[in-house]
Amino acid sequence: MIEAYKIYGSGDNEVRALDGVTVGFEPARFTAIMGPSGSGKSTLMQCAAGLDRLTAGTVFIGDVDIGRLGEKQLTLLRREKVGFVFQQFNLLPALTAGENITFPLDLAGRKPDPAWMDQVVATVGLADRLSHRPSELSGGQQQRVAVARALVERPEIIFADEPTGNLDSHSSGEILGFMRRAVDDFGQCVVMVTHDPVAATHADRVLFLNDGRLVDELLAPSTDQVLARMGSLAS
Amino acid sequence: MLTLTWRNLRANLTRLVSTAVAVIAGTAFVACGLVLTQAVASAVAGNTELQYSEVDAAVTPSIPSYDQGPTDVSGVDATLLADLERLPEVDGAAGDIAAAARILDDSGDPLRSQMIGRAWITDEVLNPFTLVEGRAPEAPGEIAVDRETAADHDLAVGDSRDLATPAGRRSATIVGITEFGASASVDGGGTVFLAPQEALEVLGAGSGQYTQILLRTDGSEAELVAAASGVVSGADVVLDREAFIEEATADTEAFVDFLRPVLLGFAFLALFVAGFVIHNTFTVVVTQRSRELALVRSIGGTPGQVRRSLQLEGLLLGLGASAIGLGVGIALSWVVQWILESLDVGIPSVGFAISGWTVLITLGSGTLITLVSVVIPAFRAGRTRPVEAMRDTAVDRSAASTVRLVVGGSFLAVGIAALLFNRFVHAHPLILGLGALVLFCGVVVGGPLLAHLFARGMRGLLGRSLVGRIAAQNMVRNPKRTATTANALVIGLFLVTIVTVSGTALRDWAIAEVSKFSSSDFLVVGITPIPDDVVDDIAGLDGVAESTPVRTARVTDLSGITAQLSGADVESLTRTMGLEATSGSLQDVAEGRGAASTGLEQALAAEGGPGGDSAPSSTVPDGAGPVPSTQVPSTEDPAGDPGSGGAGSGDPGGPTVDIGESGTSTTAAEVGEVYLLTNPDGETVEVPVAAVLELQLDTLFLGTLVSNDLFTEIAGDQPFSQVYVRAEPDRVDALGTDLDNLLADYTGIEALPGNFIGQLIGSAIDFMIAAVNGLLALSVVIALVGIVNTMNLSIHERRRELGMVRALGMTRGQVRSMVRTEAFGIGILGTVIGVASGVFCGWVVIGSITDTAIPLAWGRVGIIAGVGLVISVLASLWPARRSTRIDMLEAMSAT
Repeated sequence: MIEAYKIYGSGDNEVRALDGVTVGFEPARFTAIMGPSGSGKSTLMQCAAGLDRLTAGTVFIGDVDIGRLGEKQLTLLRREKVGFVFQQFNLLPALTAGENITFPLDLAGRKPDPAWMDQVVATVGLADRLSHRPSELSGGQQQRVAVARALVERPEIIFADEPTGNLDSHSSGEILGFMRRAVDDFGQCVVMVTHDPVAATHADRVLFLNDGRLVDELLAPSTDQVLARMGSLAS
Repeated sequence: MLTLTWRNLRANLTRLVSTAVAVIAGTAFVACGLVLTQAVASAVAGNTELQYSEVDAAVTPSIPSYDQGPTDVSGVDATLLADLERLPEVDGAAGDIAAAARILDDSGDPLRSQMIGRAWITDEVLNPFTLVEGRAPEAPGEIAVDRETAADHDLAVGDSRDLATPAGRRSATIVGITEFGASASVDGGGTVFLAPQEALEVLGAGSGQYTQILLRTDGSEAELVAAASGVVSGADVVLDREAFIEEATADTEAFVDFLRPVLLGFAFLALFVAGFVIHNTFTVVVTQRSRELALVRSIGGTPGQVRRSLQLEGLLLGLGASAIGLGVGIALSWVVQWILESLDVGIPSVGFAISGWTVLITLGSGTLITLVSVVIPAFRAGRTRPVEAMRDTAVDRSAASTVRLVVGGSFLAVGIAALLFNRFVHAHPLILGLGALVLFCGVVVGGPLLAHLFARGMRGLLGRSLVGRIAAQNMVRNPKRTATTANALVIGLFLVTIVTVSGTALRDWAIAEVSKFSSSDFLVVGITPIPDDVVDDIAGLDGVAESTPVRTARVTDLSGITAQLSGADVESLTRTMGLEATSGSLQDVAEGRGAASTGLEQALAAEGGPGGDSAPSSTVPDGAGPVPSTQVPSTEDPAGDPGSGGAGSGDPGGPTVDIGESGTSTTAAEVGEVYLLTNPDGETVEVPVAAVLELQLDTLFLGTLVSNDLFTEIAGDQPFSQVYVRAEPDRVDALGTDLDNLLADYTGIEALPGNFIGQLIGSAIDFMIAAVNGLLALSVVIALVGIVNTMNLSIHERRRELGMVRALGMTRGQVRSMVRTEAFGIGILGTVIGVASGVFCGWVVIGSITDTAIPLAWGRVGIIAGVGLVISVLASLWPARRSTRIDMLEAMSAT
């Protein structure tokens, strides 16, 4: 992501949600993005994931410049190269857990690789829950389904927007553990937006955003470090 | 709470617009129907009042025109006019005559199809028409036309045009342009005036009769009536002003009285359907707003306050939408009038009539239906628990409960069982009606279950398509809502199907029954007399094997019953019509020894003949029911003892009069009995029944048949009014065309094909089916609005979910197709239930009509299903478009 600008409104009402951010996310790396409300972290993620378009600047996913893609191509790219985990569990209530996991593949009309599917399902511990509807699953289980859905298509990058925001600490730890394993065991690239300093410590590095600018970076963070940085941003 | 209600209405304005559309459509229809019928009624009443404003009494035939049969030629003898004018009480008199007459263009086609020819009334006080240009028609060949016709067709004083009249084609010169009060004419289709004497000849086509004679006096109305009654005799009566005006408006009033409830019935049905749509919208709105409502509750709003705020919202919406509907309806009535006028169908120029009742009924019905539809959602809103304010998403309470399963299931079972019982065991309208009603309740209550079943089937059908599977599943996310939405369509399509299926069957059955009878190839009938040269022309046409002219007259028997008597060359008629006698001898009839009865019940009363062995009392010969003696209008009964003696002089046999309550005999005459008829001179003529005719189609037109000589003896000299034609076998079609061409110039005469009753029944029933279905279309359209509305609300509810699937890589096309499939599914659900239950009920109805197997009109059912399909497709287009406008980012933003 190079020289990214996202500007809402104009003149006096101008809001620079992203003000010249350049950042890269590599495979096998777990990145957390932090920052106070309105710092632009959600915008950064949405633009990087191809959900929203930049006012200026370029976004590459792999070697594809997504700014050049049409709506349809962008959708297909999201389907194949990007995985999502949302705060609201965001499963389709109409489908079973298993169907939800394979949903992006089904959309593309592809069959999941059975071995990989088994491995993913085993990783998140859902083997005996695949035929259940989302309404029959707990919050933590639903989020595990969402993680499995993101993993099963083997995307270039997974974006997680406050994935633990609605979970108790036990379930949060599980989910973060799964994402950690996805990075370590499967070499997945994961980007997570979070408020939670504890969650951020599961990442390899933490990026701090403020007023649309990248203000700090922390590698192999500890909870205290994260809290200190956040404190300095807030002041 | 009032502020909250008002703010909500404003905030949800766009969402409520579609609800309002349903109410507006329904109430507009109500208003339009009321305004139109009232306008027509008051216009006719006003016109009649104006047309006869100076009339103090009138002489009319004793049978009012609307009670006369299709071939009756009945009026008031023109010679009577002079007698009346001589009376000192009469200060002005005019022979009034009106008959179809059309001004023709150069190629011989009528300028206006519904023009009426009238005699110009020379008495200036009586004449309601005024000349705006030129002068009155005075000599033969002179005419005046109303100003509208003149303006529309570039007619001016001095122009010559041909005129088609009951007496054939005439050339005429326009000498005047007229108007009627503030409007152009009393006749919606235009008026052409002829000089009085020519009008009598041409419009009366030689009958020498006026339609009626108008009288005025400067003195007392009562004395005028008394004096005129002294001159008038026989078949005519003198009516005072009040009775005359009443009779003149009776026709229209009867029509309006018939039309108004029919139109209103359909309007209220449309409103009923709109009720489903409103109910649905409010239910969804309450669900969506549950957090807000719970918030209101948690900060101290009582359930009653919450409920009332919603009811108030419904009240304001209903009132507002009804007011708009009223305006739209009034505008619509203008449009309808304009269309009718440009089609020249000849309704009187109407204008504009809005009464307080129209406003009240329109606003009241629209508001009421909205209020009633909001009751349940409002109640549910009142039950919102404060804790729901803390919950994340709205919880939908509706589910397929056991109670619903049991109640809905048993309603369905009972309804079907009752209908099957009706079909196979015992048919009774009550069972049929109740069965259909219970079935309908079952469909409404059990709707969500049916939706479940349907969705399962659909899921199976679309199993291979992920998008289709999700759509099917989405349909039953809220089965109650889906069912209510579909039910709006069910009602319309159910009624359309049942009307079409049973109507078509009824038509086929009736036509089949009718075509069992034989008949002549063509029947030429005249509303006005058929001139002798036309009779000759018909006989001379190529392809005519034989033609038999028939004279008809109304005759009165001793008990005062009037019926039709026909005179013809019976031998010839036997050949053209294929007459056969079931008893007696046609030969006797042909040779003037007696009459042939049609064997129908509504014929003349016959008395026991010389050989009759009936009891000399007031009992009926065959013992069928007592004689209601008070019903016998026996003004001419010399015995003065109605019911018992009845006959009086010259009655050779048992004096038994057989008269039913309606003034007609309850049993058919038998050979050997005797008709006692009164001839124009007031003498009684005995006519024995010599034969009873086998029933066939055109014997209905004959009434009682006698030979030409006997006819003249009874009824005097009368013009021809029917010609029966037998065509050469291979010339039937060509002859039909030739007859039509020949009769084109004669406005009162028509050639009917032999099977015309079948055609008539067919087209009448077809017209009814089309009219009913046309009116039901409104309900179907409102149902369409309902589906669109529900889908839009569902999409609004699921916008986060839709945003998510877009983020996960569902293309816009796939989202569209998912939403489209769901909307389409709801439409098809409604179509399937509506058409299926309609076919089922229609099939039961057919069973009630007849035992013979009538095939269901699958073709037409297919068309209705096609309409349902189209509605479903239409319903799916708009929400699908809307769905792709969902912002994906909403999926990401935590709410």
